[in-house]
Amino acid sequence: MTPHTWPSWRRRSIGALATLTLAAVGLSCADSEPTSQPTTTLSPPETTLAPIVDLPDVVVTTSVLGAVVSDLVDGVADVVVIIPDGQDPHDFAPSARDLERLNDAAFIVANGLNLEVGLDAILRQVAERDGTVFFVGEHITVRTMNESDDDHDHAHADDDTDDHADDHSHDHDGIDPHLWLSPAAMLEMLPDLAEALATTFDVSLDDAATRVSSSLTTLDRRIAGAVSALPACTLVTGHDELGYFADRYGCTIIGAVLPSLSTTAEASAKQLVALKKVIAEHRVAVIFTSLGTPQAVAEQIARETGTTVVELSTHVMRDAVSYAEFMLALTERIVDALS
Amino acid sequence: MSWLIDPFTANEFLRQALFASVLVALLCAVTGTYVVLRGLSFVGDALAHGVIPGIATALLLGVSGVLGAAVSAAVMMTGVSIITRRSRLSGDTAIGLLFVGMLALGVIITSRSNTFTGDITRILFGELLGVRVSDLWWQLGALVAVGVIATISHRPFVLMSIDDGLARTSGFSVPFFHSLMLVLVGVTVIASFQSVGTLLVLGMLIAPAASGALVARRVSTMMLIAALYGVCASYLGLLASYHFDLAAGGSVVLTAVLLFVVTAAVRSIVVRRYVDEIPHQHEHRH
Repeated sequence: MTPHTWPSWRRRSIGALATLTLAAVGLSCADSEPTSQPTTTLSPPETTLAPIVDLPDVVVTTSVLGAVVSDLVDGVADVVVIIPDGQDPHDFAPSARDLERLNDAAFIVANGLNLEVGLDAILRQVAERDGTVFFVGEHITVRTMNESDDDHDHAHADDDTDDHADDHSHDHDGIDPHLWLSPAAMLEMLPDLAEALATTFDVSLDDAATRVSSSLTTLDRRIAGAVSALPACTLVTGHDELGYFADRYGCTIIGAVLPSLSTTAEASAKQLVALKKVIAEHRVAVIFTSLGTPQAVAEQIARETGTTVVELSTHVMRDAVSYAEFMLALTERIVDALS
Repeated sequence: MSWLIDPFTANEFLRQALFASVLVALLCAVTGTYVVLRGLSFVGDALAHGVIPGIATALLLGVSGVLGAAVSAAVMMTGVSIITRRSRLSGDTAIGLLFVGMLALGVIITSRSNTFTGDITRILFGELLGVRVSDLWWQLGALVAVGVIATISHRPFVLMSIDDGLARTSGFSVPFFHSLMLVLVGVTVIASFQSVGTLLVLGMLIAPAASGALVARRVSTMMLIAALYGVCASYLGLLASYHFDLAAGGSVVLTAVLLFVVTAAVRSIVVRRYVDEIPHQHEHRH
């Protein structure tokens, strides 16, 4: 049941040749199995032999976007992920080989919106040279965060869950790069991405785009269904990462351990006091942490407020083999913790 | 006055941060004074950064970061003494070599590992607001150890800070006590990095001790002043972090450096006045 569409993004642990073989095998398996039907149990990889085809590479910066893209380019191109799954994209520094891959890539998909700070220079260079860089952030409705106007940072977040985007404020304003955490945003950029890929590789991706689009729609509905079953979806997160998710599914983010859109920051005492206050006011029971959250700080706050710390996988695929599985695992963990 | 105390009484995390920071300040007052007097700042810097690969590896293997840091520090100190003994290169060069070598290794480990769950920011800047009670016990243990070593070796350390020859003629083995001093620096760095981070521990090591060296002549007085400055910096820094919304570790260290700047400025004014008065005294005598 579980398709293995894109083992190629795990290439770092395997040799280049092995990766090519694996990718070919994976792609051939995936032909009959779209990733729209995710399962929670993982079956061992199938070992069907397939002819080794030398497909062009689509280089994707992050593993989660890599999963989306590989659904789309099945049989047309291999997906190579630059930032290893498990690494914080906010402070990733590329190696010389990464630069070579980016320079040689036929097509690059990047998150943009200042997520991959360490890759920014090279991506700009490549984009200026021949324009094969697709910044997902330029093809979605970008979420921005507003500067808070007073000292009570998160205190005036109301408890109405319908109206979310603007009624919570943080001390750091800016553009939210965590767009992959909403299938709706993926749906939004999909037609543009499919078109750009089709032009570059001179193939038709219409069928694939329709298939991915319908699977994303299904995924979106499933998540919405799961979240709406909750009495209330009030979140305290590691850094400001779940904005797109919250906006889409009617959750309210009332605070963060590190109220910053990036993880490269140190906590201040004032922020933490404000967070404690908000947690008490809203009777929050769970602090969600993820990659890059100052874990010791989160645990200390949890101890003082009588809450529990639940770790989410928001930036890394971890065990998920498809985007749908990644999103459903994330949703399940949030829903389980809150109900 | 409530704004001076209430943040600490109301918040356990701030209280623990203050305890941790004060322990770091006391540790650094003892070690830092020798570091400043003997000009070991560079070794301190090198050790503080040289422990990064050890911490990163320890986190990867799931063992205590303290253990990794200790191994790294030992490797560095052994490396420095081997290079200085076996070649004609100066200690400075040896330290520099190992320093950059270890730092580069640290960057490679933290950047290339697929499973790196720690975060380079946390290693560099620490998690002062997430200090655990067990961390405090570690630091207290280190403080006692450093205090005992410093008390026993106080005389050779003081003599060496004036001149190595002086220590030698008094019958002390300079290489031994030099190594012992490096061990003190290592222990201080290792005990402090979890709260203030490897990057900022150097600030606590040098700034209060430099202030002490500026105003006092006796080594024990220097240490006392350094301790006082360090404790003040801890308290004021955390208070600033609370009231002005600043990064906690950063504001403690910045306060320590600012206290030094203020002390230096005040001292230079006082000294100028004193110098002005000297001619008068001469006139009176004649």
